[in-house]
Amino acid sequence: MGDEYKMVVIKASSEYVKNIMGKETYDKIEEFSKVIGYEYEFGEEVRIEFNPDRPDLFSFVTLADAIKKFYYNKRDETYNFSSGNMDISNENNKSGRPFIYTFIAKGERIGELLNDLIDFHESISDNVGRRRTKAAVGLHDYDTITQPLKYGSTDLKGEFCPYDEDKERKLEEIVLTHEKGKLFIDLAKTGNKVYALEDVNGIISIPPMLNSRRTRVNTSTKNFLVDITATNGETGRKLKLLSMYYFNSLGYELIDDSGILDAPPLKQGFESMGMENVNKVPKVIGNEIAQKDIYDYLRKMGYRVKDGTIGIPFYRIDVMGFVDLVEDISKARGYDKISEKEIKLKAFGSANPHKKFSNILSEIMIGMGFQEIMSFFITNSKNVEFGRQSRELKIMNPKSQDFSQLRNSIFPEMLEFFQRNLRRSYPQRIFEIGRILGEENEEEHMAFAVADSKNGYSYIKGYLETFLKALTQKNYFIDGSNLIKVIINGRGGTILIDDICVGFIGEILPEILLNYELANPVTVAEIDVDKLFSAIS
Amino acid sequence: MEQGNSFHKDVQMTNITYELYLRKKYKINVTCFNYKNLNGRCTTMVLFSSIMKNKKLLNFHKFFKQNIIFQTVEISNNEAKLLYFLSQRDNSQPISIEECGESNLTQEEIRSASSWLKMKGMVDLSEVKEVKYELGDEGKIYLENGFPEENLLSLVKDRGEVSIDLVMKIMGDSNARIAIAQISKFGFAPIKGKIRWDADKGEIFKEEIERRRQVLKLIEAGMPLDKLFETTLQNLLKRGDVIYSRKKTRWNLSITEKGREYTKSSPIKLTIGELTPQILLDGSWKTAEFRKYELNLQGKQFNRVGRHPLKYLINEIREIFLQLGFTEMSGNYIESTGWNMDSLFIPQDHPARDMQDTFYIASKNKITFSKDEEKLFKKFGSVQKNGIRGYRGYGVDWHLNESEKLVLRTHTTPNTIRYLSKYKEIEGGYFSVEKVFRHESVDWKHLAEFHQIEGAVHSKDTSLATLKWFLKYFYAQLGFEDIRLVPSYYPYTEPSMDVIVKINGKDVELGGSGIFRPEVLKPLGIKYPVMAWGMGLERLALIYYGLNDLRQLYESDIDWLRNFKIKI
Repeated sequence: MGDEYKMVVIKASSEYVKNIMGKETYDKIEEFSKVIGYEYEFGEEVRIEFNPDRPDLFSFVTLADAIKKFYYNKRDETYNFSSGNMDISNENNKSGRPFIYTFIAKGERIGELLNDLIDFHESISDNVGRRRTKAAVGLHDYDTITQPLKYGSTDLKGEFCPYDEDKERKLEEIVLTHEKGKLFIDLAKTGNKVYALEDVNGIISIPPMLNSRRTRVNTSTKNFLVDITATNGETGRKLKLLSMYYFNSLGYELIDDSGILDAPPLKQGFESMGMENVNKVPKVIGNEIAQKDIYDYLRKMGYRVKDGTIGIPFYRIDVMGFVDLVEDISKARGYDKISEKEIKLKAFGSANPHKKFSNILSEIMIGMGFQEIMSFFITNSKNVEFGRQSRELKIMNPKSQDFSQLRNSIFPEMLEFFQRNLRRSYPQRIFEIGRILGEENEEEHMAFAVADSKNGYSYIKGYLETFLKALTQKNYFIDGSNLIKVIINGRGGTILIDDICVGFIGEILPEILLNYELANPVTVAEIDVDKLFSAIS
Repeated sequence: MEQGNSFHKDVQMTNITYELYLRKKYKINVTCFNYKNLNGRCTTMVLFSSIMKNKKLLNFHKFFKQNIIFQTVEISNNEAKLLYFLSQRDNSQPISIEECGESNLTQEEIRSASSWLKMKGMVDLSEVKEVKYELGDEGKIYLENGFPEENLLSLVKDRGEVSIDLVMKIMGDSNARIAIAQISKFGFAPIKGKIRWDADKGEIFKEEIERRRQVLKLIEAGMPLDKLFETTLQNLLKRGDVIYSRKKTRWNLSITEKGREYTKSSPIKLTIGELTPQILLDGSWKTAEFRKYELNLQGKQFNRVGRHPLKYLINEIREIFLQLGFTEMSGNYIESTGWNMDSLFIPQDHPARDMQDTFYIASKNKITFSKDEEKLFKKFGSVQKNGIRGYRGYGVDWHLNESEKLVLRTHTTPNTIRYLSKYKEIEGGYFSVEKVFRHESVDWKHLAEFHQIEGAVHSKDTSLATLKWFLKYFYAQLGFEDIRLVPSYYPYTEPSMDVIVKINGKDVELGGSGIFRPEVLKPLGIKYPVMAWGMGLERLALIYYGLNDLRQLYESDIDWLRNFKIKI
């Protein structure tokens, strides 16, 4: 828990927002934020930051619609559409982007709402459409189009005039120079061609990359052709529903030959859910709530409660089942209204034995005058040179040189610690217990180190003896026959308890000290905590 | 606080705080460091330990002289002894430190005590430069056998006239040369190789020779030399190996009026400073008084060691959970995407799975998963694609190889899922405070790895109401009495709520919570509803320890670790 997934931002000048939402609705933005859980900023610009789960709200027009339903009893009992005959052929149904959906929205001149409309469609293509990879929406001025339409492909050598330019030029040049071309060419490619949506007069878009100049929408556009191309049919369907919701909120007539709003699982724009679910709501919330109130909360949130069923409106693509309804009911009711109920576990708590053991080891170390430190698991390549290499487990996508490797021992981090604290007073005695990546698995290690002008093997050995005396009466032995590459030959070795090697101890080689710009001798011991635990028990 | 025991090492400090009053009526604390440097000089450094109200006081020395009067005077045992000794002397002539031997103090103790007394205005301590003389080897011989010039004079007197050659023969070359040079200055310069006797001149020279002898005798006896001997002394100094001069600095001590007043007003008793084994054994503690120390002086400084600041917090949080009956979990840092994401209903096309958000781990050898695990992953996939019993799923594509990638876990929630599925029919609570990773650049407010506090309850009684109760309890234990829950979103919980706390009047989001979706619980057969919550430990540490750079926790300054204030 505690993830922060990408937030979605919509913004526009406050004058503009007030105009398109209407004053009453605008004034409710603040209050409604407590219901939905978005963040807002008012200034010259209105800025609203949404969680990504409610794409239907990602515009001021649809936000206004939701506010009207919540506060002003706007009730949509059916969502209607007309069947028109869209003449379109799909030549790409075997390609990587096989799906195309279209519908027509007819209404008043779009006027100043144009920006909100475009931002909304950009936003849903980006979020629901996963940066257009899964699906993307294209908007056209329907009055400039002559059917039949064809979703096919075109050669990159051909010419095209992007929506924001005034002359045709070579597509292969456009994909290298146009901002959208550069961004989305990989998605538009099919074989060595690009997708193309054409009417009788030529290409109207290169989906999902660019629309044409000829069919470009502007403030005078009244009738829109909306196309959705998709690699995933379900995502494409969701984008179509969201786009239809936008136009529906504006009172546009929807003309759709696929009849999506009346096709299962939808009927008249609603998906129905059994009323019996309502009885389970109080149990999940944990408070008594009257059935009448539950209905009321649902209606405020845009659901239809009628004829013994609950209708989920078509644009709520995030609703996947009963618990989503419960959340909407809780939101409408307000989280403040939840009266809390004590819960008692029927068990005794138990600490993780590893953590318990670590705490004991820490106490011993502190008793000997060592300060605990903590360092990062992700480290640099210099620090992993000294330890045993893992079986080639590596970070595939490091963020920077300094944090590019998984540490395979702790003591190099301690050398860095001493380096950072070169000018602090001595002696410096430190220890750390933490995770490392061993040859095979992750291991829990403990390392302790001393930096001081008066320092040497007998010092660190003394600490090790005292440390082990606190844990075991077993014999242990320092085996100097295994050379350790960071330790002066003859001044350190592996630590054996009953022939189990639990770690190493010794004086760090001068060249390594100088490599970390250290001016004092350093002695260390590093121990595998799990091996230690099994060796002593 | 024992003071003044610092003079036996080359450089060592002691300090004492005086309450000082400024003329401007500010009361400030001043710490005086009194130390002796390698040259044996005594220096007093004064440090202001409280914040100066008047920031203009940059010219500190001037200010110090003009505005500060020592107010409190506390006298140590040794100081008292010395002061008493000085006040008992008949005259007020300065006395050198060496001469204070009768005060029963060692030279070091006298030095220390006198410098403190000087600072307190009770004695004057003045430096006197002196010259001391010593006999050289020649000087010692002259004293025994007479000066060469003396011997030559009696030779000339006896013979009336002697040739230089004869002198050389009788006295030897070097002595003859010295003798002739000396005798020449008194009118016996050789003429044509011969020295002639002159009674008048002889008489004057004889007197001078006696003076020279006198000087040597006085030096031998270590007695002071009278001014009358100045010319003679200079003559002897010029001659090699007869006498040597040594310059010496002496510290002269004299009691001031203030010191005298003090001895009169407070009759001096012997008091005990540091309680030594000697005092303990000889019984002197029975009669002597224990000197009262200045109780608020700075104590001896040493370095503390202890747990890392985060560990105090971690253990505090562990205790809260353990008391409530939770079981502590632990898991690997390297995790499969199948567990890290798919088990939590995070679809394969979710942005959190992007390379920009998560550290992926490359493995040279192909990682193999058990058949059971693959079966489980496929189940997760089917839920994403087609949903499960009453839940329609995302309808998105799913591929097994996408679930078998390795990542540095982005949360500890997969652990919770593992524990829940292990004890799927038993009610219980689980928690951990362990590390998670995010694909972030490390800077003052971002870390690529940090600890996540995570807890979950699997119970028949789980509901939003019990979750709210738990959150209130938990945050209150952490010191946040006033929390607010706001709607939020996580792919694996529904409803989801974030926790808002008030910090210095500001709303701060500090953790997320929710009830696990059926899409998470059902495929694993987890019987009861599960509520869960989590928060970042480092953000809490930031608030607790007042840090302004998160890196300080992991790339620490040892002095911070030695001195941070533990949050209780």
